[in-house]
Amino acid sequence: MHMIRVGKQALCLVLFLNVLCMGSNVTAHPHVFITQRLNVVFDNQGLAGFGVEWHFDEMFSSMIATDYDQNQNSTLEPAEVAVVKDKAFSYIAVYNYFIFVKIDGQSFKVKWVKDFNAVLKNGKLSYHFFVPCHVKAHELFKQIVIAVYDPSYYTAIFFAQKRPALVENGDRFVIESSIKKDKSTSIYFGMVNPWALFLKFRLTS
Amino acid sequence: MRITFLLLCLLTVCIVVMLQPVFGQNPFTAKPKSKTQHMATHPAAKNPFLSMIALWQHRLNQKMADLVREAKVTNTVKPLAFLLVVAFAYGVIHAAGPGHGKAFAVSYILSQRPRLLLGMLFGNFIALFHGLSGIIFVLIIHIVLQKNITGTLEEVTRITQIISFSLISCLGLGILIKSIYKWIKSAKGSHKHHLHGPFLSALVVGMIPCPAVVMVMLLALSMKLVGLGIMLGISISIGMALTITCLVVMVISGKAISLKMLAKHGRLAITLENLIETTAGLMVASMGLLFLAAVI
Repeated sequence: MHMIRVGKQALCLVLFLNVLCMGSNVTAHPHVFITQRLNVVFDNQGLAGFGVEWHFDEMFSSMIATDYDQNQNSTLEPAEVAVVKDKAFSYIAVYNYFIFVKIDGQSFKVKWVKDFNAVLKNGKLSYHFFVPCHVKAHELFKQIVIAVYDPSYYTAIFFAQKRPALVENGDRFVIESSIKKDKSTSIYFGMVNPWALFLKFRLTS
Repeated sequence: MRITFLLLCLLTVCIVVMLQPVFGQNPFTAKPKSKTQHMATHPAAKNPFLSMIALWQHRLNQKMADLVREAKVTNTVKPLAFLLVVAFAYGVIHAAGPGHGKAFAVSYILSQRPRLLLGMLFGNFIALFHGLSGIIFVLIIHIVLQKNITGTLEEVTRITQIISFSLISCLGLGILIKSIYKWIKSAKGSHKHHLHGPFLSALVVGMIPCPAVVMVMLLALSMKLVGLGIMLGISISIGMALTITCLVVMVISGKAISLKMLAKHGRLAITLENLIETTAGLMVASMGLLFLAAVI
């Protein structure tokens, strides 16, 4: 009986301390949710870059639509897209646009993106842009890891279940890819491993 | 051994608490203040629970949006009951993740010796104020002032954070000074130490608008469903109240059990209780000041 009582007390204590540790994390947690698709584009030399498609949850979409769909016609015209880019996209440039690339283990900083577009369709917002990232193909495999995450974890980014990544103009190369958690990267005080596209390619022999 | 274990745990908890940075801001719509707080850190402790919470929240978020749309399109109240249940579940899970004043609530409860009912009221009030604040600010900004939500809300949130963190710092300093006074006077630990003013303390912690409630409100407002938005905001708040209250109850019970384990040591139990009170007061004050410094 005594052992059971001590066991119960110890269990309560562990639970109590666990609660304290959990309660101590006061930073942001996901409030915005993105489903993404990557479109990996090759040119004659090798990798040219990748297109990014972010589909936002309807709540964030409605927030942006309320503020920036000026004429409230449920679509974003070029002038409105420019405002969205300025007020609800460009700020993340300091976080490398949430895109963290490693080329053969070396970090590649995303300093700029091009062809930004914001689309509002059926109340759902999506961002589309291209990240230039030139990597020449050789006989040996080049390893690329593309992890897309918000390091502050205010935004949770998931790969789409259907067609999460596509390859364009890849016929001249041997390409292997997989989507899995990047165990070498941890965010949010080391508690979360972001999902990443692991890509390797080489010239066809 | 037990005492050493307890003290080590207490120290670990303090260190973990002190190392946490500021409340998050929407990185898409808020001008970045400092990049350092957003940098990834090295692995510390994997927590699959957090990833699961994010996934569940994503699913519930989608479900809620679908049901709100269904309610709008069909113009019926048929999906309402299910929608409120989903909103409640969203609140429960949302508050299970980090944030929402739980760190302050836990520290504050640790520094007191509240009756269980008062502690539960305190937990409920925090969540309700947190949610109501979101509802009220959205209504004021969107309907009364008719201003741009994203920028104005960031500013409103910042102001409420400054007020809240200032008051929390004062509260923590008050607890700390009182506790130090006790040490100096070598007074015996009071066993009639109850939670004072759970309503006001909860208001101080919960006045910062909950972003999840804000976003649900905005979705409903975009479909001109103000009443539904308010109901959903309240349901989410009730869900959050359940989680935060469970947490508070666990802390109260945990503290009571820890002290009971040491009760036979008499004087030592009193010393430990005073030590917990001092440390918790220091934690409340430090967190308040740290967060205040970060938002100013």
